[in-house]
Amino acid sequence: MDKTHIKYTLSWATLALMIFILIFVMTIFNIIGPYGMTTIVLIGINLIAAVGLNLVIGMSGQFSLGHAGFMAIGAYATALIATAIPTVFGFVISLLIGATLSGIVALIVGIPTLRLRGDYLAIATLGVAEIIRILIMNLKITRGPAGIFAIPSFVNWQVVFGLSVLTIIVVVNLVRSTTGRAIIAVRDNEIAAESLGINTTKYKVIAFVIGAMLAALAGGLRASFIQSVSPQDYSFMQSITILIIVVLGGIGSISGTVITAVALGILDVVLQSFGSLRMVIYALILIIVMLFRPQGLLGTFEFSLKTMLFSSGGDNDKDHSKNA
Amino acid sequence: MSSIIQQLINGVILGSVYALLALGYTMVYGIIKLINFAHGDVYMLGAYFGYFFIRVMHLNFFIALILSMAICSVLGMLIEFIAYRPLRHSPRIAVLISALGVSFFLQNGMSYLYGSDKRAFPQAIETTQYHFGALQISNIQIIIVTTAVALMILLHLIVKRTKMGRAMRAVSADEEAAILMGINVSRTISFTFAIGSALAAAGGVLIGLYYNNIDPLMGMTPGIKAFVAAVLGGIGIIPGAALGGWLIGILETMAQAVGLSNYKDAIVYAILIIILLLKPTGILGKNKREKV
Amino acid sequence: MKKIIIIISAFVVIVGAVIGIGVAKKSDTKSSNTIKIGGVFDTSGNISAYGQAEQKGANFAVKRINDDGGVKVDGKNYKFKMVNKDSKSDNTEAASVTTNLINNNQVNAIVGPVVTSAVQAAIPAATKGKTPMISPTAGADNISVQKNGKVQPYVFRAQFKNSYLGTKMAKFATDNIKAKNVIVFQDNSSDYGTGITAAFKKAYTGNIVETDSYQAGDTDFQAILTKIKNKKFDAIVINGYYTEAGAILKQARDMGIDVPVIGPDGLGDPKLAEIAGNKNTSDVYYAAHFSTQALSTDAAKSFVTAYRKEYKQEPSQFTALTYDAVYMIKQAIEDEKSIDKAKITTGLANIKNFEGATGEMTMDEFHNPQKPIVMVGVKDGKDTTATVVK
Repeated sequence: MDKTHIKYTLSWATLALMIFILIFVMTIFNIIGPYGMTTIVLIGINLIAAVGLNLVIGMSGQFSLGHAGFMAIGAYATALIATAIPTVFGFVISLLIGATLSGIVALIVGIPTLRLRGDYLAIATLGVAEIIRILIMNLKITRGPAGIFAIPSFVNWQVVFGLSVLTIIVVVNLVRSTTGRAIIAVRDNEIAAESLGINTTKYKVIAFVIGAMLAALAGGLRASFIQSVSPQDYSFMQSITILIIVVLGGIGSISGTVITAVALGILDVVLQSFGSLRMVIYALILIIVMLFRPQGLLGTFEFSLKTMLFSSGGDNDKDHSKNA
Repeated sequence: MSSIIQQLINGVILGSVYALLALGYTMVYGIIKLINFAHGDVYMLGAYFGYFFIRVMHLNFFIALILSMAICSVLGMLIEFIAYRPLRHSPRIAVLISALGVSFFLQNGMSYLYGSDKRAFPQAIETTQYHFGALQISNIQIIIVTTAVALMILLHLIVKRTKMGRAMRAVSADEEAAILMGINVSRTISFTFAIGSALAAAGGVLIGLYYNNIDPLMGMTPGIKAFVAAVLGGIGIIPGAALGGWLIGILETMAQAVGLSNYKDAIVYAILIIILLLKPTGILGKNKREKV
Repeated sequence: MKKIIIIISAFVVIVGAVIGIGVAKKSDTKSSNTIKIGGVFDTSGNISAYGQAEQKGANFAVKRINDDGGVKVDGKNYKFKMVNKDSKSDNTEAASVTTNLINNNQVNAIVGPVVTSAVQAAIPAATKGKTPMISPTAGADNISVQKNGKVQPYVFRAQFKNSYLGTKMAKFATDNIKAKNVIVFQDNSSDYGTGITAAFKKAYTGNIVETDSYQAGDTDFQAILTKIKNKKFDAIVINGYYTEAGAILKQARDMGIDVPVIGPDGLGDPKLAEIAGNKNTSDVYYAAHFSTQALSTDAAKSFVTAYRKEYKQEPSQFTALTYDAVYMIKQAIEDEKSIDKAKITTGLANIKNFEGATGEMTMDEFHNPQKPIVMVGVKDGKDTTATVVK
C-alpha cells in the first residue's frame, strides 16, 4: 500500500469521524432528539439499499425493479431469527443469514434473467419481487399480512452510521478493483467487454448479488429498528423509492446517492405535515429535478477528497470531472 | 364443462380490460422506448372525466366517452410536451423517473382535490344479462370486448395505412433517418401520445361503467398488469398487447377457478418470467422487431 | 495542507457552536392552555380513503369539543388541538410520524394509526415516548398484548377485536340467518380480512364450503363468483372493506347470486350501496358499532345529527370510531383531572360505561373496548334493521 493511498483513506476516515462526532455532540445537547435520530437511522437504511442498487443499475447498467423483494428477505430473516435468539449475537447472525439467503436468491434469479435486456430485465425483477412478497403473505412462518412484531431492537443511529460508512467503503473499493472495472466495462459497452474476454454474465451476476445482499442488510436493520415487519412494507413502491434515490443522485455516482438519500430523508420530514398534498409536492420535485438535471444531481461525478484537499491547482469544479 | 367455458369468457373480458390499457403502453414504448408509468393515471383521468360528463353535465354515455377521449388526448400531448420532450436526448431512466413523477402527481393531485374515496360511476347503460344455456354474459361485457377489438383493428389500420402511421413506424425504426426523410418527429410523437391517451380514456370510461366504481388510484394495479401484458406479448407490437392482455386475463381467471386465488398474481409473474426466459423479447417479439 | 487546517478548525468551531447552543438552550416549558392530540393518518397512498375518513372524524370531534367550550381541568379551561401528520400508507412512516409527534410536537396523546401493521410499527415509539396511543380501527387481537402476556401499557383501540367480530358474525350467521353452508371471501392483503376469517372459521358451527381470497384494489370478481355459483350455500361472508365488498356485491347480484351477505364493520360505509347499486344492496348484514337507523346512545344521536349538518352526508364506521377515540381521551382527562400523559393513559385504561357514538363501552384489562355488536341489515341500500348480537 503506497503512501498517498493511506493518506486518502485516512482523510476519508477523518471526515466520517468528524460527521459522527458532530451528530454525537448534537444528540448530547438534545439538538437532535429522538425524532432526529429516527430520521438519521431511516436515511442510513435507505442509503445502504440505494448504494446496493446503484451498484446494479449504475455500475453494471442492469435495470432492476426488484430491490424490495431482497429487502423483504433480509427483513424477515432478522424478524424470525432475532426473535428466536434475542441477543446481539442472534441479531448479527440474522443479518448474515438474511444477506446470504438474499444473495442465493439473487444468484438463482440472476443467472437466467440477467441475459435479458433493459426493460425486459426490469419487468422480470419486478415479477420476482412480487412473487417473494406474495409468498411471504401466504406462508405460515411469516404470519401472513399482519407480519411479525415485537422484534428485539439492536439498532440505533451509531450502528446504522457505522454500517453505512462500511457499505460505502466496500462498494467504492469494489468499483475500483479489477472486478469493478470489469463491471463498469460491461455497462459501458457490453460487446466490447465480451470481445476483451470479460465474462459479462458473471460480472452482471456479481453486481446483482452484492446489490441484493446490501438490500437484505438494509431490510434487516429496518426490521430490528422498527421492531415489526409486514408484507406491505415491501411492495413495488419500496423498489421505486430506492430507485428514485439512485436516479436523482446520479446513476453511477455513490456521492450522489449519499447526498440524495440525506436530502430525500429530510424532505420526508418536512412533507409529513402536508397531508394529502405531500405526494403532490414530492411528484413535482421529482419532475423538476429530472427536467433540470436529467443526469441526476451529481451526474457521474464523484466527490473526491483527493481533488479537494491535495491538488495544488484547487480544481474542484464539479462540471470539470463530469462526463454524463 | 360449461363453467370452464364461462371462466374462459370471464378471462377474455378481463383480458380485454388489460389489452385496452396495454395498447397505449405498447405504442408509446414502440416509438420512444419509454415505460410510460403515467399511462394508468391517464386512464384514471378518463374515468373521472366520464363521471363528470355523465353525472354533472348529464350527457349521453357515448358523447361523454368521446369528449373524455378528446380531453385526455390533449392532456397526453401536454404531459409529453412538459415532462418528456425536454428529456428526449437524456438517459432513458431520467424520462422514466419523470413519468413516475407525472404518475404520482396525477394520482395524488386527484386525491387531494376530490378525496381518495371511491365514487360510484353513474349507470348510464342499464346492465342486461343474456343467457346462452348455462353461460351468461352481460351487454356491458359485450361492449368492453367489442370496443377493445374495434380499437385494436382501428389502431392497426392507422399504423399500417395512414401517412401518420407510416411516420410513426419510421420514427420508431430510426429517428435520425426519419428526420432526414422530412418527418416531423415531435409531431409524430405528440400524435402517438394523443392516440395512446385517448385509448386509455376510453378504457377508463368503459371500465368505470363496468365495475361501477372509480378512485384516484384505480390506474395503479391495472397499469402494472397492462405493462406486464405488453411485455409478455412483445412490447411495441400491437397484436402482442392484445395477446398479452388476454393471456393474463385468462391466467388470472383460471388461477382463481382452480382455487389458487391467494397466488393469482404470483402465477402471472412466474409465467411471465418463464416466457421471457424462453423468448426474451416476448411471445410475438422478433429479433428484427416491427415496432409501433 | 492549508485546506486541511482550515477544515479542521472550521469543524472545531462548529462543534463549539453546537455545544454553546446546547448549553444556552433552556427548556421552555411554558404553560399553555391547549391539549395537543397527534393524528397519525394515512392521507396519501393506497389506504388513504380510510385515512382521510378518520382524519375527518378526529377533526370533527375536536371542533365539537372546542365549540362546547373545551375541557375544564382544575378550574383551568383547555382547548383541544389536532396535529395531523401523514403516514403515506407506509408502516415505517407511521413509526417515524409517531416519534415526530411525541418528541417535536409534544402531543398529550395520539389517535391512530389506521391499520394493524402500522400500529405494530408505532408501538415502540409510543412506548419509548410514554404517550397513550389509541387506534380507531386496528383489529388484530394481539396489538395490545406484549410478548410476555402483559398488556401493552400505551396501546388502546376503539375498534372491536378481530376475533370478537368473527365470533359474533358466526353466531349471527347460525342463529339469525340460519345459514348451514357458507362461502367466505377474505381480503388477503390485510390482517383485518384474514384475522376475522380465522375467528369466523373457529366459531362457525355450520359448513364452510370454501374460502377464496382477493387483494385490496381488485375490481374483477367474475372468476371466483363463477366458480361458486353452482355450489350449494346459504350465505356469503365477505371479510374486508366496503371498497371491494361493494364490487363483489354488484357482480354477484348481476350474476344472479342472491343469498344473504354478511360482513364485518369494514362494510359500514354509505359508499357500499353506491358502489354496488341500491337495488343490489339488499339482504346485506354487517357488524356495526352504530347504525344510523337504530341509534343506541344519545352520543350517537348527537354525532349523526351534527355530522349530517356539517358535511351533508352520512358518517361511516371509520369516522365514528375516530370521533370516539378523541372523546375517549377527553373522558380520560376529565376522569383523571389532568392533562399529563401518564394520567391520560391511566384514564383510558379505566374507561367505564363511556357513552360514545359507537355504543356504550368499558375498557377491558387489555385495553379493548367492550361494547355490543349491532348487526345492521340493509335493504335497497338503506339500513333497515338492527339486531344486537349477545
